[in-house]
Amino acid sequence: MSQPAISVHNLSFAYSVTEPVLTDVSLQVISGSFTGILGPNGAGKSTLLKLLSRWYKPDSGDIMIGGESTKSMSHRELSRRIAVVEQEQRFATDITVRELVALGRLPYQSLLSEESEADRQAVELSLTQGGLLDLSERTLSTLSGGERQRARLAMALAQDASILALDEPTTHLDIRHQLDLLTLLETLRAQGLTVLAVLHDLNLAALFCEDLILLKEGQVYATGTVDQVLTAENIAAVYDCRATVYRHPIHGVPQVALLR
Amino acid sequence: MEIKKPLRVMPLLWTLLLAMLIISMANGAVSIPVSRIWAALSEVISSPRAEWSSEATILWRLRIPRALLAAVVGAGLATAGAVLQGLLRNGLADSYVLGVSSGASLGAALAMLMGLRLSFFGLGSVTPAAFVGATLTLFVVVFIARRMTGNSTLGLLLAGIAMSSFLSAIVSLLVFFSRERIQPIVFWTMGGFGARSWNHLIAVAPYIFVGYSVAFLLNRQLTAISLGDETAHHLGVNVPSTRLVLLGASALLTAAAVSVSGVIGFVGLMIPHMARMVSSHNYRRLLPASAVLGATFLVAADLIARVIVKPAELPVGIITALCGGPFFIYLLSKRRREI
Amino acid sequence: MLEEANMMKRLTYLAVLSLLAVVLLACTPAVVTPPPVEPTTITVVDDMGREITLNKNPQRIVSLAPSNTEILFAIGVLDRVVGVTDVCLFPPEAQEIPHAGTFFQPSVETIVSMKPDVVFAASLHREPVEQLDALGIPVVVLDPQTIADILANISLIGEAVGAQAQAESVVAEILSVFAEVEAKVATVPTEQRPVVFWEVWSDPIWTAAKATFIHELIEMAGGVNMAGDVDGTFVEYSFEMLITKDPAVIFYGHAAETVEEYLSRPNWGTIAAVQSKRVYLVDQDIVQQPGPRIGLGLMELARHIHPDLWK
Repeated sequence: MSQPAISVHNLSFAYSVTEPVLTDVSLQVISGSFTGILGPNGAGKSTLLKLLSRWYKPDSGDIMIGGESTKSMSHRELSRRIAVVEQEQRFATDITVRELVALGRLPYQSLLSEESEADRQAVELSLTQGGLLDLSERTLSTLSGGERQRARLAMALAQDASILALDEPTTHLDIRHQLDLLTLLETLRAQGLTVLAVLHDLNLAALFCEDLILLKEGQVYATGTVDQVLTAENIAAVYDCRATVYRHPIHGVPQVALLR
Repeated sequence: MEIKKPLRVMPLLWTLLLAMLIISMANGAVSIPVSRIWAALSEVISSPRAEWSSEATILWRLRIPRALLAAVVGAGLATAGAVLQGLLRNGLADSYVLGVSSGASLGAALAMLMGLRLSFFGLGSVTPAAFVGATLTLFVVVFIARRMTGNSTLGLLLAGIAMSSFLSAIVSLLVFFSRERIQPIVFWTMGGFGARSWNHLIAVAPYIFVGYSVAFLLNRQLTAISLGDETAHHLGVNVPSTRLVLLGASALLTAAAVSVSGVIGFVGLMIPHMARMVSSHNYRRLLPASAVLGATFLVAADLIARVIVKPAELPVGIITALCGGPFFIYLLSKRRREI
Repeated sequence: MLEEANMMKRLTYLAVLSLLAVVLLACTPAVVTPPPVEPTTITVVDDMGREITLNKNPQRIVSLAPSNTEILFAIGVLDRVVGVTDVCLFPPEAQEIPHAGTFFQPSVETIVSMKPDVVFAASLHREPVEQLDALGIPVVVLDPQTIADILANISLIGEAVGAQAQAESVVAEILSVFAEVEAKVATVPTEQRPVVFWEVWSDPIWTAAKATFIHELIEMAGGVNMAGDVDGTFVEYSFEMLITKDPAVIFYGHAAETVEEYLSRPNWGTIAAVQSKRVYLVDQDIVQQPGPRIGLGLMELARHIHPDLWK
């Protein structure tokens, strides 16, 4: 088996002593996989992503990316390895789509350097992958929610990182745009990226992910393939609600139906 | 507000600035027709100073340095405002509103009082002292706003207003007790460009240049931070240290401006908004547009201050406050939901 | 009658003296006259202690203060004045001369365009003086604090514009008025000298303290300046203290009220000067302005403070 893209060892983090968010988390994300992070509200999913990108510094434990500890990496180095798409938010700064995507090249630029040919190609490629070529000169405020999400994704793609981490990328989107976005992520994974996404919708996660990480109260409750993790027992234990799991009639993956 | 933006806006803005400089050269207590400006300037080059006509003297020794100083100060203040608005992600941020100008004027006034004039055009120690005052004020205001009021727009404004009033009161006290030794109070509360010369321009231009250059070199980082600290972090920007450098640059720009022209408010508040309308939110384009627009605006404001009650003069701060006050309220009303 | 005769005598004496001076001055240069082709300059020291070198007999003069304008008029060179200020109202001819900006804000641009040979400024004109210095335009700064300063200023301006003789006669004339007043007042014993309040402004109350020539004028005129125990120049004065000092004579020159209105000010009825109706509106320009009419000002004060001496 190849080296894991990410491996987390005994990670703990708390905002304050009385409020532990993550306790002794250890997990691995397989290189080239599409891994979903699931769990109820407050389980620590977003915090886990922020720790991966070192926006938060862990209290203890270590995170290895590509076999190297992130502790010793500079901000730039880290941002060349893992690109993060945050939760949907409104930007006060109304730049164009191309300008936003071009910011993805920041980790490769020095203060005095102009945009290089490599930068331009990466931006062009990211715009193409995001299906944004026609929108590239539009400003963010004129975009729809789905378009804006794709623009943010394209910025992350321009970072040319091997790991793409997304925090609830499908929230606020309608089902059509949810499907489009997840399909796009699946395509990117097929091109070699490791995709790691915090998701809320269990059925969509089952449809697109290969591996799942199920968090409960700041700890890893279950991890493994979709079939291993998405069981009625796990859902009952983690979400505290009754559900039955059945097979998707076309794709054959597990699907969850809630019970009253 | 979405207006059609011209494709290449900078040449347009530069033309506007040049035109405003020429209008400024032609008008004042003594009118000099535009047609004679060239003749007067060629006289400056060709003949010795003793033989200059009074028009040549007025233009070269009084009006041109003054107009250029207004341009440089306007560019500095507008740049400082643009940087602060981006860093704090707050369209109401400006060195005047946040009390940074008052801090700079306190520093400058103290330096003058203590006779720290270490020669160099009499400004050698005033600008550094103003810089110390501006920096301390900026950090105190930002600290109060972040730690004590949860970084809300209202908290930032209130912290700024409180600091500004407090520091202005100290400056007024100093001026009151010092009598003749430093500038009259009005200079420190409503600045202006009366009696400014080439020396002032030479003394202050390098600081403005350095402040602007630092901001411009970090334009991508600044755009990233204006999107969000976390977003900038994910793009590999070292947010705390970058923010420190940029806050320092805006304090330097403010200090340089205040030490030669006193407190001139609202330039840094208004101009970046106008620059965004005609240019871009991207700091790579916003910074030059703000600087040139700010220069044009302050040259125009100084011209109005010089001619409206001629041959007397108004403090230019009155003109900028007359424009800036209503603009500030307009911005507030647009943002009332957030506050 | 006796006084009039006395005065006539004095004036005749003065006239002879000044004539003598004119003749002497007119003669002396003849002995050491340099060749007329050589440009001649003169160096004067102004009230800021600066040495200013200017062309002899300047033909284009700018005055930035009403007192300077009055001095220039008194020594007979108003026709050479090319620029004055908005508050140079005396003599009326001065109002016809173009303005070089305002008294509080002289316009350096306008002054430059007037191509002056010399500018007479006041101490408040710090910034314009710095600019004019830088431009190489000779500026003489006058800062009269005392009556001696005023007389010295008249001589200084006379020297600077080449009208020494006229200046000395103006000074002599003022000195003769001083002498006359002093002679009469000398007969008044100290305890009969009334407390005098000179009101510069009413709200807030501003008056002239110890370090002003107005204080000197009041004391010379046989009064006791109410604020004579206060250090400083023009100062704000508390109404409580004013009631305590209870001035017997009040002068004001701001003309914001008529004397009737003044007498009916609420709360002022207990003050001696108001009760005895010894409140006088005087032309503030002859008292408050450090110019050549200061003798008239003294005479005006003296006549009101000790009316019986002039019966």
